[in-house]
Amino acid sequence: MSYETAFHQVNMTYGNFQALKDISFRLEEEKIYGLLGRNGAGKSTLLSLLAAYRKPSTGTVTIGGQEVFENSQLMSQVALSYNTDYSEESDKVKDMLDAAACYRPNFDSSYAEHLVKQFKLPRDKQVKKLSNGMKSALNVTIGLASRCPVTIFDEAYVGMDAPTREIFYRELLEDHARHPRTIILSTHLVSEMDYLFEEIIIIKRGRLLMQERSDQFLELGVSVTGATQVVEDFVRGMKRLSTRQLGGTTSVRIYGELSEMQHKEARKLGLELGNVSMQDLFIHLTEEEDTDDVQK
Amino acid sequence: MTFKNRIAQVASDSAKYHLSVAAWFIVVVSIIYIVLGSIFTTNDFTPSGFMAFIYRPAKIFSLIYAISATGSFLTFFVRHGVTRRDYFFGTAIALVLVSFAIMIIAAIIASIENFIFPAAESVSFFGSSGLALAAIAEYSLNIICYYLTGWLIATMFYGYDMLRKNLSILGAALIVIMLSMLWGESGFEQSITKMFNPHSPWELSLAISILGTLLLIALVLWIIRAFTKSITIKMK
Repeated sequence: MSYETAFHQVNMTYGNFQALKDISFRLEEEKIYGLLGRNGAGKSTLLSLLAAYRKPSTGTVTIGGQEVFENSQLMSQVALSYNTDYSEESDKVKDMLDAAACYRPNFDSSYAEHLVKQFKLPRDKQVKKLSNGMKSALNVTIGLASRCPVTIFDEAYVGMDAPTREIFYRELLEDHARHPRTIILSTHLVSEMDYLFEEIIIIKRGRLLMQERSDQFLELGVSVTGATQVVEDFVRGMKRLSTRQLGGTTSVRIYGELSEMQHKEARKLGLELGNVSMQDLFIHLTEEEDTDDVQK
Repeated sequence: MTFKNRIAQVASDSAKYHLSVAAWFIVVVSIIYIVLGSIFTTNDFTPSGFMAFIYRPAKIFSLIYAISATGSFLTFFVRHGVTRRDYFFGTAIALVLVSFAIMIIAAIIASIENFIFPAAESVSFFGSSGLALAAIAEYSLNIICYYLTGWLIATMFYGYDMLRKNLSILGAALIVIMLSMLWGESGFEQSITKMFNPHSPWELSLAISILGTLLLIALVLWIIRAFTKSITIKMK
């Protein structure tokens, strides 16, 4: 069965507020996607539609050509992990894992045990008594061990410390290599997670701003480094993302590709050209007021 | 996993959890019954034994359980990839099973009580097997209605606006009134009923009461299904 995912002209309205506006895109199978957007951009709403937590106001969300909402075969193949409120959850960690094993057809209990050890989760402790980081680790454990063909992590790292997040990222990559599936990572930690993404999707104010392969996305910006005055003269008139200066050396990140002539000129001036970080581009694209036209 | 298996699994898991909570309820009510029975020795306290004693608390227990558990169960099941349809049918089956289980367990306890302390036939359900079965059926059907009332209220409070929340309270009151009209119960429900209809048909036959209750159950289930069909799951 195909698990190609598609949003087709999806709109989501809450009263007078339109959370998603005419969203259309496709996700190929077995890739890792980064879903980026600022607070309130509509990321969680979009993901909740894919997990059939809600029905779109208009439009369709399909997997393998079939609508996901109330589709028994498909809903069991989509896992959404998010920052869950477990304040009243009296079940123990092992109970939660057992419950997931009952309802997820591909759940791998031995892998879940491996993750429990990696995250040092106390199996016999009530979930409500876990720290926030541990609760997130439990969500991630269930999400990864469920081995759903469509696996979604909506800021699932909240509360995790840096070493735990590293374990999460490593396990995600390794398990994806062993069991390829569509994974969507919604995050604010762009600089920390950018190496995970094969493609990125950017949502801005409820609209799809961009869907691009990560390597192609990074080509949208250039860093120019060299003597301060030379750099300043070279980038004059270009869209500047950020500037860093150390002594007489300045590094400016600009938005947009350079022409062949500009490349030659930069070499002639002794300037060093490099890539711009995904985070710089993300910040620029989601801050600009004039760039929210839909691009594909 | 096939569609039917999913419903069976939801029903089984819901019923297991529900029964584990109900077991505590029965134990606590049994202890209270024994303590009160040892203090008050007259028939005024327990005119029809343990079954009659547990019946009223069981209705309240059912109502409160349904109100408190509905939201977390709905979220849990959909979060684990269960459709709202499977959740609905599984939960409905579970609550019927649990309602009958509570009253059957109560009947077993009552029969043990009756064996140890034989009561006068006029105040016991165990004078004939037919009467005992009728009591189990009546009480179980009423408990099912209270579960449904709680389920209806919780559904509206889970996913709907203030108007529908308030309407669910009104609906709950109507269900209770209709139940007391069908079964001619005494006490609070009767008082409410008399406010609306001073000439309540208290002398309905058992068959009409059962049929009316089944129709009421079908109606409330239909309403709950209509409101859970596309309900938005809270991400919290």
